[in-house]
Amino acid sequence: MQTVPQKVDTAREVARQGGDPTNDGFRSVTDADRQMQSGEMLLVEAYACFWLFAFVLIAMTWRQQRALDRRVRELEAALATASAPGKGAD
Amino acid sequence: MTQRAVTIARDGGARAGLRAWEVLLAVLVVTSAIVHLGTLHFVAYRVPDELTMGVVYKIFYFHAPSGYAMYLAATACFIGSCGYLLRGTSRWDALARAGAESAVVFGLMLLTSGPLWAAKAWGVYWTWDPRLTTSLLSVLIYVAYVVMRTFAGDGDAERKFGAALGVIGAALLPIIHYAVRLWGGTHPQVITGKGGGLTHPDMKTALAFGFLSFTLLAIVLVWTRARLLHAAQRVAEVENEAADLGLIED
Repeated sequence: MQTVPQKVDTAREVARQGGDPTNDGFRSVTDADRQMQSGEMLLVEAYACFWLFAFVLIAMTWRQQRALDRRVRELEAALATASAPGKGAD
Repeated sequence: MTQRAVTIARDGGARAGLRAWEVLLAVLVVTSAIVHLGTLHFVAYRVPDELTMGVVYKIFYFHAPSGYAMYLAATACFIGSCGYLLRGTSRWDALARAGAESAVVFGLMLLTSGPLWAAKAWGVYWTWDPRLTTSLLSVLIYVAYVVMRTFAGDGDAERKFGAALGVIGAALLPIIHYAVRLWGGTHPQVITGKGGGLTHPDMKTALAFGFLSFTLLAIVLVWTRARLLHAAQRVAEVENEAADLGLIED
């Protein structure tokens, strides 16, 4: 009865079994589906990153603008209080 | 402490003609949004796929312009840094800081879209190619600038140190640009003075749209951030004056 050679996954396994690890022949893998990158998915991920980074900066700008508006309102209120009759304003 | 000081703080120190600039900025924002949507539509529905890479090469139409926009933002940072070192006014510092922040954003776009494309085209996300390495170094310089300015205070020493970083960051830009010609590497040189490797007319049109949309976005982001940062600096100055006069608490 003829022995069917077992499939091997790595070069180390080839060497352990007495084969040539530098051989460029085809080798089997068990996760071929995961190794194939979907071009469409990568494209969508890249475009999502573009918009994500841009919107993060825009959101930060909006938040800082709101904080600045609040500080200006507090300053105006302090100025109005100081300018009121009976208060010593410059 | 005067009413005028608060008014200056509110509008970021802008003088007469403010309304015209606001209108121009609004026009730029709307134009930028329209051109971006137009580019997306054109790239998605008109531009053909590439023979060997398929659809994933369409990352190119935003990847290359994001690198170019990083150059623009870094140039704004360089101009602001030089202006601050020469004049020492907060307006130049605000321009430098806005340029650095925008350079980080465009640099992150570049450094995420490139590896996603490379995963399909080269089989690896990253390789220490000359252009990739110099681009990463450049972005790290601007990240260092932003982190330093965010957490180290806003004194003259910090501003001058930031300005020095802005000048050093700009010195790296020509090295990035000529890295492929000087040292080769894996990164392709698609856009050349001899017409480049874009064989279909729609490919060239899409790339032109990409450059236009990112130019507008870079102008809008740098301008908006610079105005905001300058206004924040002026408000801080007025708050200090008010605190000295006892109008508000420290």
